[in-house]
Amino acid sequence: MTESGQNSQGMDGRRTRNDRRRRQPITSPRPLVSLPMIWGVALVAVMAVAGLIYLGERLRQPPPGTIGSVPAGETGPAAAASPATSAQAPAGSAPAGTIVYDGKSKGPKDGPVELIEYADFQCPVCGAHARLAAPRIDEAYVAKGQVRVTFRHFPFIGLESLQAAMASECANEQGQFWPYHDKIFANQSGENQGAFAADKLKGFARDLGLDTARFDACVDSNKYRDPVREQFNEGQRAGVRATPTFFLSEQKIEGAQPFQVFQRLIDNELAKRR
Amino acid sequence: MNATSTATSLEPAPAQSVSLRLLALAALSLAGLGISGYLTYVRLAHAVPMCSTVRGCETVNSSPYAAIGEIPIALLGMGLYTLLLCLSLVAWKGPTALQPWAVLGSFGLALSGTLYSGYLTYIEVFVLQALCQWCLTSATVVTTMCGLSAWTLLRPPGALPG
Repeated sequence: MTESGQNSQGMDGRRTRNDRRRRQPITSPRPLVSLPMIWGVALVAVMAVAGLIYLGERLRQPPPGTIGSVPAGETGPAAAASPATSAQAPAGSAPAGTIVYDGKSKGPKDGPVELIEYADFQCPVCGAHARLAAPRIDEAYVAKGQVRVTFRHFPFIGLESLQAAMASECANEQGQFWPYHDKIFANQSGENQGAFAADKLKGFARDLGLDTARFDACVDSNKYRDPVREQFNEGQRAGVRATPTFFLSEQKIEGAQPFQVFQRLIDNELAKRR
Repeated sequence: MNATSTATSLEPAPAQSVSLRLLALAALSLAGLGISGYLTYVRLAHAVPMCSTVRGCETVNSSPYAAIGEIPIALLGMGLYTLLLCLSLVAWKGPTALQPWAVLGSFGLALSGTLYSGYLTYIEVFVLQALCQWCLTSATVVTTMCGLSAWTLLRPPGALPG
């Protein structure tokens, strides 16, 4: 459409006198405002959205150096939450192909790569990771001594998240964190609806053959409330805002990613260390 | 571009068709405002959203992508829909001289909302692997608004050749 064609017709569709005089054919209506104006607004909209996405991505990155401040293995407050690690098999003593469990970590202490997971036991996506990608990571990397996986609590969904996290620490006292971890995820059912009430959590320990008297006393004491909360705060400082969130060296990985994503990232990290 | 090509009034147009479109824009803004208001409440109150998908809404709304810094995306959505509501009301019943600009503003805002909703839907599907029906409904609402405002801009009622 030509500029003169656009302007020869009134906004209301009636031909102007000039238009009638010229008998100029009009093939389409002219827009309310000029096309360049519309294109300009569209361009501004595209740039605004690009800026917003960029800003969001920037703000989602943890501050520089934050990952380095997350201790490798169980130190600081996390160590207080894992007093029974010495009762378990020492890292690196197992034959190849066997997963070494070490408190809330698995894999050799001197493993070349550490994968830290922040999770909430009530989070369905964390459960999906535990059932889908995690076993494959264990098989492909942890059992071969290439990756050490460390679990950290990030209970944010509700009270039962905190109760489950504290109970898992009680299981950890007896060297059974990972079986208890799997048991909890296998029994997810609703959120804050009683699936992880104290009696249920005690029942899981009984099912796993733990020392129930010791476990029940531990759960009733709430003695891991502060260490668990400290892990939550530590996660927030590291940039965790939802679960599951993983840290693989300097990289933050969010959501229940397929195994192939972990595989690619872990292989990259291993290649760097060769 | 000359003066007559920059902006003209909606006023002389046959009122019924344009009124319906602008009324639809206002109604959709209200719907979007309701959805984003609810999601803002859920985010700020750490409540569990009502959702027909399997916990998808909670996963999405509690994810890091649901906020820019400390500002929930849903709150930005509330701002967007509030502006869109104001603009559609101006386009509908406001001063004649402002009507085309209000439609143009609606188009710009709705296009921004559509593009950002597209990005968020991509994140839902490929990163979070969870779908939130509220977010998808909002994306549909804002995309429809974008289409309606573009339609009103490009094919104003009564401007058909004849």
